[in-house]
Amino acid sequence: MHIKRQIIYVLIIIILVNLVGNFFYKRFDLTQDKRYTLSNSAKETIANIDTPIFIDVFLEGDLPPEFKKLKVETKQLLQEFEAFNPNIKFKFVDPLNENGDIESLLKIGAKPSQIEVKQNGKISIQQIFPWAIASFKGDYLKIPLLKNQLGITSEERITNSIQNLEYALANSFNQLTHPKSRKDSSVKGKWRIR
Amino acid sequence: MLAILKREINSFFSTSVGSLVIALFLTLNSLLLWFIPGEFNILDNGFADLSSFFIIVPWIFLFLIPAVTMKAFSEEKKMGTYELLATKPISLKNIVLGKYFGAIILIYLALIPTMIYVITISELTNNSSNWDIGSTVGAYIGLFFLILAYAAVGIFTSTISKNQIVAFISSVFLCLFIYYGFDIISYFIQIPYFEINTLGMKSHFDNISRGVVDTRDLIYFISVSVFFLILTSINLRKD
Repeated sequence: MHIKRQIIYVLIIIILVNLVGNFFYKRFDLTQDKRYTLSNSAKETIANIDTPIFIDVFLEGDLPPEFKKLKVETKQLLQEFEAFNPNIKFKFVDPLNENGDIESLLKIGAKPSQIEVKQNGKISIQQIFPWAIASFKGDYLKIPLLKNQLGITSEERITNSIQNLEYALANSFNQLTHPKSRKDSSVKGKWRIR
Repeated sequence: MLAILKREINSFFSTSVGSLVIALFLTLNSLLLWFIPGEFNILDNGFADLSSFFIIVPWIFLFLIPAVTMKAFSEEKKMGTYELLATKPISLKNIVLGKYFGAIILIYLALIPTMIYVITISELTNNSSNWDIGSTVGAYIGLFFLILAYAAVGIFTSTISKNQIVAFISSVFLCLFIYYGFDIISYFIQIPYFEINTLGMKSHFDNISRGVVDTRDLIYFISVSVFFLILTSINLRKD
């Protein structure tokens, strides 16, 4: 009896310490590019979202190592967004399994990347959809996760894409929640192409 | 406490336990990270990144740390030397802490040679901007705290039985449950406004091992260790 009471006291104290620690905490992002700390502008963008945004990320399944890294980083960043605003919900989908819907992905212009995979002297080509689709109040937007650049190695491309992730995601949330600014940006985009 | 600590470390290195643990730890890691092709192979992945080391290391420690701690009290009890130790003018707290830090120092010693991996990667990387040393330092800090928690669990289970094998197996199971069990439970049971997997060590360790040191995660690991150390002394006082 006495022992049980002791254990319960200890447990209560420990839980209390943890609860207090939850309110007064400090966070040190030791990564070089501070990639796990949301920038203030990204926080501002998502702070006022009060309707759920659903994000489907199509990086799932059998991926080559560099895309696995992209997947892990995307997941960690989305968790960071989710922790800040629980209305941001995401799931990872494998577009190539039997439930996947490649047709509709292609229809909205999410083109697959052809990736050469070298393993044990064999080269094979793998199809990967480095895209995410965010939907908000019946509206949707495709988000490119891979930033294409000419003349760089695939590792550098992934590193650059990871550094670009926060901007790509925050920007698309902004466009979804403020449809007006979305129009403006598309006009700008066209202008630049001309 | 220092006397006990010294005696523990001496006993690790006078028997083959200490060198065996360190050798086994390094062999397993090096094989998985540099030689065996697979998803943990750093050279195959092509990134200057030690993250696969921090994925496999909790699983290797799951077996190694219980192997180090299993004899802490169960051997003393079996040989009958525990009574002798208890009559010495050392407080129970100091006996427990001495044994605990003895085990921890041995495991920390095993970690020192893994600096070779860090040096190898920084030498091999051709573009130093890709090599994120800060994130690696953070992950090592996480590993130090994970070891604290594992060792506390191991010390506790060594008090529950005279038999070292029972202590070892129950310690592996308990560590596995606290590390990964809550993750599995959270797949099946969901409680609103509370994430069950934050009760487990994995979610906290994953958090630190990507390079984000958060006081909440550190407090979690310290509380797990303190809780099991207190259980240890309660259990010893009961006898």
